[in-house]
Amino acid sequence: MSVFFVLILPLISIITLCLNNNRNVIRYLPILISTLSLGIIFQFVFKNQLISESTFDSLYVNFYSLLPIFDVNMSFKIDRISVLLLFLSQITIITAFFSTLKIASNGQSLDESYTRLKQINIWISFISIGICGLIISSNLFVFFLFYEVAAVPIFLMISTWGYNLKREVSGPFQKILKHFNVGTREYGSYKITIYLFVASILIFFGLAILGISAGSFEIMNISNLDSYKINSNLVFWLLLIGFGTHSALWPFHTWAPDGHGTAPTAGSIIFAGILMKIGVIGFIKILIPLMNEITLDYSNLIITLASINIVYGAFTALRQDDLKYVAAYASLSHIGYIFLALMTNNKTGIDGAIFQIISHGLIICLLFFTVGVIYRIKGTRLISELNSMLDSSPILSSFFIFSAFASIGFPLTSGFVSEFMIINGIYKSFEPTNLGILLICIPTLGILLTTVYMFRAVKDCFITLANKIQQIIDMDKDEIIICFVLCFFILFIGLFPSIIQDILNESYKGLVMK
Amino acid sequence: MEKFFLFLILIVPFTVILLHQINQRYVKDIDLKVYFVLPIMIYLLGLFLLLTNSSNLGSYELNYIDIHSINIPLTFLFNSSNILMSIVVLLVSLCVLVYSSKFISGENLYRHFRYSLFLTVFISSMVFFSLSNDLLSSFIFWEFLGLCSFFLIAFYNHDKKAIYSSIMAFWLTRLGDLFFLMGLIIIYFGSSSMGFDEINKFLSTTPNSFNNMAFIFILIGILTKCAQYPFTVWLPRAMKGPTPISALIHSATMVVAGILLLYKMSPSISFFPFVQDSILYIGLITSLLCAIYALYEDDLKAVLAYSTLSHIGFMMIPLGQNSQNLGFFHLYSHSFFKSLLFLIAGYLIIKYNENSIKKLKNKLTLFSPVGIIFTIGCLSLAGIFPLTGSFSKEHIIINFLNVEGYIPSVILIISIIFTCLYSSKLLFNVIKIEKNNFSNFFNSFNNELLYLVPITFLGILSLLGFFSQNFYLNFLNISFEEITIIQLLSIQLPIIFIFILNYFYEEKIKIITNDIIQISKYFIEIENIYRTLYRNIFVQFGKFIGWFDRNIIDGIINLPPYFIVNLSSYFQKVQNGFIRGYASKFIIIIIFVIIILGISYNI
Repeated sequence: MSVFFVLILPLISIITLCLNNNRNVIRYLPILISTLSLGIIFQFVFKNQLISESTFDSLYVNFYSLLPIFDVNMSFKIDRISVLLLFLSQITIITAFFSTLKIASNGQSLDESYTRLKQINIWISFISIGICGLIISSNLFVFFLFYEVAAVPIFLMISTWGYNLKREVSGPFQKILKHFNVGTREYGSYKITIYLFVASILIFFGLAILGISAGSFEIMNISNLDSYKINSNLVFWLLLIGFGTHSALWPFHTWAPDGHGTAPTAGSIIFAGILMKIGVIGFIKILIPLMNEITLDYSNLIITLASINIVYGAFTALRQDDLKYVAAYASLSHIGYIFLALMTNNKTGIDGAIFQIISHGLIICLLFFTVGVIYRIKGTRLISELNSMLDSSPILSSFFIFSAFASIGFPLTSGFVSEFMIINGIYKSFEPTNLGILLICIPTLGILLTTVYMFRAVKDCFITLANKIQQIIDMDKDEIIICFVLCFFILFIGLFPSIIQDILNESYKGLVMK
Repeated sequence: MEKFFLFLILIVPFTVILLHQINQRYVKDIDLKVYFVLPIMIYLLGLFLLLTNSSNLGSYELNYIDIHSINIPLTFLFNSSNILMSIVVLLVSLCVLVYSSKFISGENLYRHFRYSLFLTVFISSMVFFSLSNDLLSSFIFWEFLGLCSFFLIAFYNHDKKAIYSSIMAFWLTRLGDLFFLMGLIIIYFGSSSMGFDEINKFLSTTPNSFNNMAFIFILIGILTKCAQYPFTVWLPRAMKGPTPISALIHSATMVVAGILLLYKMSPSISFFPFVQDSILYIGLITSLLCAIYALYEDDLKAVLAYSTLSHIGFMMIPLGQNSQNLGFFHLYSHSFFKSLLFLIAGYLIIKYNENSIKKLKNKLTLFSPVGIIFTIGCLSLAGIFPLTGSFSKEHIIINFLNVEGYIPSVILIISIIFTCLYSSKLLFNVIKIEKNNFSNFFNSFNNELLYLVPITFLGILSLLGFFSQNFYLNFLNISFEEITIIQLLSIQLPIIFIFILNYFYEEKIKIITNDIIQISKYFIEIENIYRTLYRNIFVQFGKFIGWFDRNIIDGIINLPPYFIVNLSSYFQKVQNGFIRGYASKFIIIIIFVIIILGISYNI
């Protein structure tokens, strides 16, 4: 039961931050609270002996009923997959809090910047509540409720703390793009908000139709129903586009690069680390278990879109000049692997998908965090303006290069395990046919392109030594700590994948479509 | 014991990191050679363990991926060939480590750390690679070799060319690695095991088209790593890195890792005729083209690089003929004399600050320690009896001529001739023959000891041909066919003849071979193809897709909001604030309503 405190704990930091003006409290309390949540999750794992073989399946709690006719309950369920997702979300949130520590020294007067720090920490805490509630929700209503809690603060985060970028436009839509001032943080924030809002309307209608036609909003009850009642094309399309937009599935992805580019570092970390996974969580929690027949019918479509995502995202990342855009398109491309793997319909592939969710979350957090530090130190994120970082800031560069290696799926990092399992799963699901060989070429091509764009950045920004190094400017201690923690988890999953596997155990069974 | 040995090798990079931390925090001015002393000691201990316990070591298994359907342990097998390869790696590495401590003494602390860290990671993963007994662990350490190679080539990072070569090497080998990964997964699906024994058994029982495809994928991985023909471009460019690195990575160990992998998979090669033929002919073509091109090159290290490629081709040839022990034997003997030549090249380049053979003319006196050893190296490179290089080459030639037809044999003979020519060119251009200069013999010993010790050691290994052949045969417990004296003479006499001929008629030979060199140039200088591919696929297409995404897709996405914004600004005009405006609109609407009502009630 204590695990449900992950929903309550951020409230403590929100209230304290509202009432308190102590600087150290503003800076460190949220980190402390999230670490406590992380501790609670670990305690849950050890208490139920998830790592050693135990029969734990899920923990279901119904707090109270809101609308008994339709089974609208405040109910939560923690299963083995959501434990891992909770862990990822807390790590992401902690990283985001760490990235805000340095906002304080940015131009404005000290009091003003502390007020802003306070606000941003409060919004991140809200997002934390939303994400955790979404992950463990067991009711369509609760799912949507927490989804909205997570989605609203994004607008405030970008429009208040974002960056303005230069972006040149050309082509047939020049006039329109110029009209909207592309590249400014207002543009980014409005775009992301409108996008996600439209997506959330679609999801809302989808969930409402699903719940009403099934006569129940409780996910467990729906899954026990006969499938013909709920397998409607309309709901599927609504949910596919809604969740797809949220996970930046092609062609509904353009909010992601703009959002990432204009967002503050904390925002980017949260987007890429966990918010982009909301769509995937929707797939895992709702679309695949509840509507598996119709999802199976459309699996070829999803495979195609995911393949386009992988290749298209990687090709777009090739010539981006802004490191954040590179990372944004990289995460776009890596989300494609998750969808591809979810559609493989066998245990290796599905486990690979969950590995990829975790591993991509950790890697992209590290990547965005280091990019944020680069911006803080150098005042620029453009590849064309950066050089000689390996000699001038060795620790920072080591972390960036580490994350580059992890994202290309280098052995002994978590990226390798997930990619290995995904490719294995794809090949297994298509049997030894020529189509199977063709389909394993797509993720492989994605990895190759990742190698090219990541190492273009590594080469230009870090290794090339353009001028003599005057002095070494490097990361601060707290930044090193969080990067080290992220690296530790990336390596840990890469070295001991069986521990994650033990936590997952047999949970792939709910995701295999019949 | 196995565990202890592996642990010993594993900790070396970590000791370097630890040393650096201690160094940075607590010790201020320390002799930077300490970064090499500790690894040398540990590797020496490892080498000692291997040599003394070679017969009673078994295997070691480490659980890695253990996920219900997939269960792949990493296995390390201490059989004779694996141990022999590790011994070779450790021997050459020790020499290179000693040499490096002097070679990079001018750099600062941080760069010392970087160099020694990546070097030790490289050596350790190469030892692990040699001992690995399954495809997955081979793949893992195979990737680590690429990583270290990338960072070590780019060590001189003020040089744009070095960085360019490093990234090129990394991308190309990574391409091969991914083919390797795909092949591995396809094979794993069938055999459901990664161990070489099971894989060889599986492949030889079911040589179907998918396994053929998988084997071709793995072969592509091997060809990129070994820089065989279509992928030759990266290795000569990799010479921009520090010379000890070239000696270790780009001649003796990493680039021949593919040969080792093929050697481990050799029992199943003969079941895949296409793969077998490709190995043979690609080896043959590479050995020919690169041997010819090496004669044209002027850069000292580039000549050695092309000669490495050509020799790797020689190693591939027997592997494609089902006589894998010969290929492995050539690998073994080649690594000593080639790393020796590289180390001497580094010595010359540092001393005279010159890369070109023409400008290094007559710089090295024959009767100096380095001069003598350089002569040994060059003679060994040409394959002159009884130096180390000669034995393996003779066996390969005889074996080849016995089996293959007319045209391949001619190709092989031509490439042998060119090998002689370029090694002779190398020797007689650099060496100056003087009499009675023994008085200076020991002069250089004082300040160049750290250069001379590894060079001398490798020189002795390249000199003792009989000894090294016997060591190889005894270690693997095999025997080759005896070479008769007639066979020996019929190979050796022409080689020696050509070798000496080149000394007297160098200019004439240049004119004669000019046409052939032009042809080989046409085939070897294919870097432009790669550049064009890169520019068109990655740069242009990437730019286009980036533009497309930023402008077209984003534009389409922005159309509806633009439309709505325009519409709202149009409707805004209706609310203009004048009473007459509102009144007139009110009247118009009333009229409209009346007309509509009238139509609908059919008045």
